[in-house]
Amino acid sequence: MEFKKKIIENLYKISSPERYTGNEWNSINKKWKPERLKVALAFPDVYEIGMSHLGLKILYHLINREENMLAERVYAPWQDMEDLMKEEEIPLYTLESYHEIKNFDILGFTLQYEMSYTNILNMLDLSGLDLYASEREEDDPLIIAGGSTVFNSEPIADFIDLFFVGEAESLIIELLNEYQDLKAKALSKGEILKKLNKMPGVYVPSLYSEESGNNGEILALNSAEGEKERVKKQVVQNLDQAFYPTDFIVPYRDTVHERVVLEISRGCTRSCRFCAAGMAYRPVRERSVERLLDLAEKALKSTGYDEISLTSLSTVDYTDVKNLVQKMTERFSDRMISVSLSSLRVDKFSVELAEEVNKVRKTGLTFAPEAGTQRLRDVINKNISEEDIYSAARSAFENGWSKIKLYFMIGLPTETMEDVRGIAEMAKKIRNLGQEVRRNTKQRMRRIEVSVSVSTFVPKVFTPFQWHQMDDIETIIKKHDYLRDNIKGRSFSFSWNDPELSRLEGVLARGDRRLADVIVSAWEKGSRFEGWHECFEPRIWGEAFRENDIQPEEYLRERGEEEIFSWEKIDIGIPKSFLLKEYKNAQQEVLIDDCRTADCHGCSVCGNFELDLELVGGGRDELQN
Amino acid sequence: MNYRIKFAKLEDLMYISHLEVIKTLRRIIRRAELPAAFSQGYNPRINLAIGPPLAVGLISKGEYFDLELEVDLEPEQLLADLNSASPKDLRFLKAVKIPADIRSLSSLVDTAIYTINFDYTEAKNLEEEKEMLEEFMDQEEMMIVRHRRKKSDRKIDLKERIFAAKIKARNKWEFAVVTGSRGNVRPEELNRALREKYSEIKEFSPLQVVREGVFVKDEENFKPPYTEKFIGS
Repeated sequence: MEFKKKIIENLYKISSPERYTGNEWNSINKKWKPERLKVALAFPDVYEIGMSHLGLKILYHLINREENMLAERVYAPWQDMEDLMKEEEIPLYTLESYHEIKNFDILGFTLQYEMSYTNILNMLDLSGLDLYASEREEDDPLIIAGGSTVFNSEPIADFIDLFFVGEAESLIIELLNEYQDLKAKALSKGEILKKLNKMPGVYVPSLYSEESGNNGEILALNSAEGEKERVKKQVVQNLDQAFYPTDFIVPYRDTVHERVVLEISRGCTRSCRFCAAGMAYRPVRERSVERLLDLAEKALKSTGYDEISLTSLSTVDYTDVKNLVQKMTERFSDRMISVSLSSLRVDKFSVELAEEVNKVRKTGLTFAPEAGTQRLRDVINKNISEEDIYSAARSAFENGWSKIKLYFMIGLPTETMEDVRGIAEMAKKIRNLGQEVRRNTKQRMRRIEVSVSVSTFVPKVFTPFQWHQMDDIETIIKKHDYLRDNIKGRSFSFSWNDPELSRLEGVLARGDRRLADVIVSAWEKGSRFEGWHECFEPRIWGEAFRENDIQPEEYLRERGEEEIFSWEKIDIGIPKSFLLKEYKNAQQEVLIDDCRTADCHGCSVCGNFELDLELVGGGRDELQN
Repeated sequence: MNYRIKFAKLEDLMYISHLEVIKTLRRIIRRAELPAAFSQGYNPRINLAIGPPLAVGLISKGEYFDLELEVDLEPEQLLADLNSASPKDLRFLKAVKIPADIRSLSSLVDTAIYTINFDYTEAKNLEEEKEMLEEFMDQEEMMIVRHRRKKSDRKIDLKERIFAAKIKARNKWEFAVVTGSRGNVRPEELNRALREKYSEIKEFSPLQVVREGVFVKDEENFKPPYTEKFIGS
């Protein structure tokens, strides 16, 4: 609190000061009563990115609902703010009460992507906390973390006291209450952590260790005596009745998503073999249309937003999507509220749906064919045909869209230059299609623009491709060069990811505990915000690896079938044998269907969690008919 | 019905930009469930016209916007509705019914009044301050360099841009300066011009500046933009 004046007085010196002031509409500033458990929710990226993260919104409101708890927010300060904080001796503080982080009981980090690990260290440091869990004091806040990269959190395991694995709504309140009870009994941090590790989904990394061989391979994973061997991911049962906030904080600053975000379903069973979320968030669970309409109504009233975004891993796969979209537009269009859909599939149905919600403004439509040839799309089990793609594109152009954005990956298993050529050819064919539609239409249509965005495939843990070797720099550059030379001209734009950055992501994504020291070295040398292209310095990371005697290539190589993985301390409910079978299916170009409408493929998730798909459009049997 | 509405933007919102204020106003109107009129076209928006921008980092006690509602609501009710849906440091202070076709705020408003609290390296008494101000205002010209974003620096004369100045109390100076389509003076520029003349004046932080409001220059007076003379049809 005492720094509030100092902060306000100085913020005019830096860019985007409104990132650091808080007090937004609907933010919750609860009184600091001694009996309340104080939780700081941290997002290791800037405000405008963190404010768009749905998981954090859910946790914030969930915790603040509890009488005996409070939750406040903190985001990573940009470099200019970090400098100002150091110069003026302002510690990291939360946006609600301007309390410094050290005064909280718990500091919880959201793990959204690997490229934010140095920001976690920086936030610990700006809070005046030691980076390594083993060196922190008894009365320092407990550092916990969870989120999408928790499934391989080994590179940061040394910094974190406790991970929560899986969907936090299911158990977080119970966990926090348990912590408060144990703390009241004056137990030591070590004793408390041991007791918490008995809870499902809780992973206390200091109770686990790994043995590495000379070439970096893992020889064994060990758990301390009496501790569970593996930590099972937790999932929400009955999503429709699960807590969902409607009083979202309304930022003043422009953020990534300035709208009511409604999560219509969770999980996806399309079984794309590269997709980490598709494996990690199974099974599919949908919210009912009635509940979604009710949530939308309340959230619009509470926030004043003029847009609703229906989100999920694959929005059009919602089993009652037509009805949902129709009801939403019917209910809200006369109030000038627009409805938008995230993650469309590449088919005509998706375009028609987009047309339904987007009758007026047609800015651009995004498709993700992912690979340039049918063969490679079969390898990754994308389950869309050439015909789907071109009919979707034609339908988009005929409905008045003139800009189409295409997402592809390079470096997928079995890829050859033939597949890379396929990307350029598809882009050209789609452009030609657009120009043909434009020539023949009587309506006015803007110039056709096709933008091609290519990212380098990074193998992710707990996917069928977790064994796959990542492309080396030269190969990536060769593919980029080919595409740059072949996708050019007025109607095209081409964008790609920094190959060095993709490689680093690859190392961290399948990393182990030896990387902790490397991350510390990179942070010490000033690395921050690696996810921001302009901030990433490969030279620093190269030095960090060398100083710690680690070969990054070790992490990017093809893994052996029998190999033990560092991340197998965690159990996501899908057996390794299923993933391996799928990896082999990929190499043989064998497709499998979505299990919502086809037979079960034996991923075992439903059995392991004693639940079933929660589908609002009818059960599996009805959908199959 | 059309309204001209006065509001204050205080400390919690001092770093919120002009565009963010407009966005926030639209959201407040929606939260208050006021039947606002929408613009025509492909992307309908709440019809709202705001006065000249307030620089990021400043608080103001008197900003304005014009709003059109589909109904005839009593100004007191409108203010109560707006305030109930607004953050505590964005306060709606006055609402006046106006005809639909009057001069817009952006063409009408030409003056901003700032109060600046000065710090000196050595304390001054009121008499000394009055002398300083008089001497400052009597200069033939007050040239300063204006730093412009993404453009080259430019020399400007503040003399013609300052309409009036007085000492309100000890350490408290008030300036009426041009704002809007006819030019602009930033408080930071006033400070620089003063410090060039008097090195004993310290650099100030935005917390020491208050925009008392925007006004319309009428001969030697500064009148609020809801004055009968400006809104009569």
